[in-house]
Amino acid sequence: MGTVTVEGTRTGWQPPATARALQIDQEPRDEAWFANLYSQTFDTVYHFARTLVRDHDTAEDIVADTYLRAWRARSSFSGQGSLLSWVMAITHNCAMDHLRSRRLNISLDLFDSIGDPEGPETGGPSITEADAEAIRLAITRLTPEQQQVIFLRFYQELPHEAVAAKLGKSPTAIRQIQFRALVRLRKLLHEGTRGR
Amino acid sequence: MRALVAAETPRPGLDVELDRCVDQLLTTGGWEIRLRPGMERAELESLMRVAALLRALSQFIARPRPSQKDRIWMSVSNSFRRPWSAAVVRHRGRSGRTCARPHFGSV
Repeated sequence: MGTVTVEGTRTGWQPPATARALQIDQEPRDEAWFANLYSQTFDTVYHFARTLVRDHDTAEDIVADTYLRAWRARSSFSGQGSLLSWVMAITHNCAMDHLRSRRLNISLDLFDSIGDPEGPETGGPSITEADAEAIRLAITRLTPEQQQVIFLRFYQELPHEAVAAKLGKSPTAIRQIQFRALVRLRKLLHEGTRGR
Repeated sequence: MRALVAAETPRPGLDVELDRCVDQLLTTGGWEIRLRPGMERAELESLMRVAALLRALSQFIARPRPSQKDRIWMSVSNSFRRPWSAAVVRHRGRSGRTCARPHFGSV
């Protein structure tokens, strides 16, 4: 009944402060347990929801729905995997429920216009709101696992070792998931461009 | 389906080089691929353009405010304490102030 490391860290590697494993008792899964879960995961879950939907009101709805579902399903978490990954999977499902009623139509014209890599002083590619929405919708078409890796890597800017620690996977697995996710996104964005 | 999976499976070492370039992108805003010109280099260049899009988009995503964390917690905890009224989560509600609250400062 002691404290367990829900998201284990790798031997010999110390994660940065932002990537520390959650420290949450397995039992009892009461209100205090849930409040601790909420406290430690809210920022990530909200940020993840904002990655998937455009406006903050909708994101708040998704976050609230996420935690309500997590509370109801708390006994279904086996304790074997990453608790953060479990909560983020619920967030994904809530976002998909929201987006299911909308027409997911990717239309992107900036992908082909992006030139060679640019240094920090040039600021990289510029993105319009429409472009952002198209990328966001493409992200929603990734698998939940790919979404989590892309989010933690690019939006939370964590190194792959930290992502591995958070999701309870090996660094090698994270690199491969990242690779497949980018291939999938490229395909989706190209399809959107051709469909215009 | 098998062809799709095969096409998305990185060749040995390519995922490592991609990850190194992503690290560069996230820390400096640019990247340099250490491969000779060829199919694999072109593949990485193409994927890094997608990565640059993600990084650019990430700059637009707002972080939550502490007040949001408090307000949503009130709504959620109120809902699960009174499940008969939780068919729809009303997270903007101000009720439920007596419920247990998380320690927000520990994140």
